[in-house]
Amino acid sequence: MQTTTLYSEGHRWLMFGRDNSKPEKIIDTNQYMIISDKESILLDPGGTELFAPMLAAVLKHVSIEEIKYLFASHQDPDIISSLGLWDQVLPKAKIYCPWLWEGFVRHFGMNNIEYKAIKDTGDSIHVGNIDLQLIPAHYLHSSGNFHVYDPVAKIYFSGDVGAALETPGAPFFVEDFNSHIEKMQLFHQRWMPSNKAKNDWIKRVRSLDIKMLAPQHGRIFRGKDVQLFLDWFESLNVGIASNS
Amino acid sequence: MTENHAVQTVAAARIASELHQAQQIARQLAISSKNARAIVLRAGSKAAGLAVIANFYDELANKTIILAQSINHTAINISAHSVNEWRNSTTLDQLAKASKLAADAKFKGDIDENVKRIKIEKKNLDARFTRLMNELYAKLDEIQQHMRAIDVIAVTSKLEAVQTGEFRGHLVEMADGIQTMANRIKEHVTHSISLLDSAR
Ligand SMILES: [Fe+2]
Ligand SMILES: [Fe+2]
Repeated sequence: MQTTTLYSEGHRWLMFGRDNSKPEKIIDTNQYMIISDKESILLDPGGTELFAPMLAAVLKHVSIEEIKYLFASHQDPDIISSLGLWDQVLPKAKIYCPWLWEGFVRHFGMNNIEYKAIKDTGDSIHVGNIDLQLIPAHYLHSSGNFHVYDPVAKIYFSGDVGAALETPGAPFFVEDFNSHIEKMQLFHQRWMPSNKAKNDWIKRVRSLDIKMLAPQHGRIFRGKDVQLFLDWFESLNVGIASNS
Repeated sequence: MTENHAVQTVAAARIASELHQAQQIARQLAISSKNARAIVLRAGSKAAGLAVIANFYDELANKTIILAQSINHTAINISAHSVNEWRNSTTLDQLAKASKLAADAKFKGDIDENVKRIKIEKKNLDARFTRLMNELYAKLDEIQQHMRAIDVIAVTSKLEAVQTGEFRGHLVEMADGIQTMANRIKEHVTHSISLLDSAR
């Protein structure tokens, strides 16, 4: 599992991904960890297949007791099917997840971890010395869905929004926005169901000061690429699948 | 160990279904025993010896129903238990992988501690599993004994039936029916035992 540091001024943001041992046919995912003081949170910790490399990677930075929280943006297997395993090693942790998915996510196996249901309008999580905002992003793509915004680091974790389908070993950051579009287009058109939800989200996110937009698949957008992405997404027609 | 848990989970679930069928037959057996009693009653003094036998039937059939129910319960318990053990050993496998990958990690020791704890849990689960399996064997064995007893009674009642004149045909037919049902239950139980043996 490869690791890169996104921010390190007081508290830290780490990104894990591009795991060499990942079975070929499962989609590559980015996992994030925020560490502040003696507490840390894992954002979208990933699927069962990634549990062992993730645990190994994480323990290079924090002890297991310091992992106090998990966050699952939605219910998908690539997001949180590892829950049954984390549950065994983090018995005192809490998972923040949309209220909508509680009865479903528990199917992954949850005997110890505590479920903190996020209400539709969002919430905030206090980790160490920082406050993270849980921003509603329903129908992008999941019907109960949240992103995480850190107003100090100005990093916005955007879940499946901004995702790109990449070849193995792709770089962590977008270098050339225009050539990146083709890797994102189908993903957004097909997985995102609602133009209305999309435009509503864009309006909300434009009011935030974002230096990095960090998706769960593909590459991170920095600086002006964040605005370029929002503009591109705004003009995109989504929900394109037809039944005939 | 993991494939073994899968096999045990499936075997226990199959046993539960075998025993469910055995239970249905035992219900029919209980009805037949009541019919036998009614005939014996009509035969009056000619069938005094048969009255005792008919009561036996009834008792054994009812005991079998209760026992089959309890086996069913134990089997489902075992199945759920295997799933737990299965999950437990999956976690251990994953932690072993993580431990290898974390060779140079600052907090690698945290993995070892978890492995230690989960291994203790696993030991407890194993012990409970063995207990449940023994319980299941014992109960299956008890059902087999009931069925053998029913078989003996059926043979005896056919002999006794000779003295009942016009009721003889009825009683022999009834005893044959009871024997057939007992044999069918025996088959289900024997199959269950071999499923259990092969899953061990
Ligand atoms: Fe998803
Ligand atoms: Fe995803």
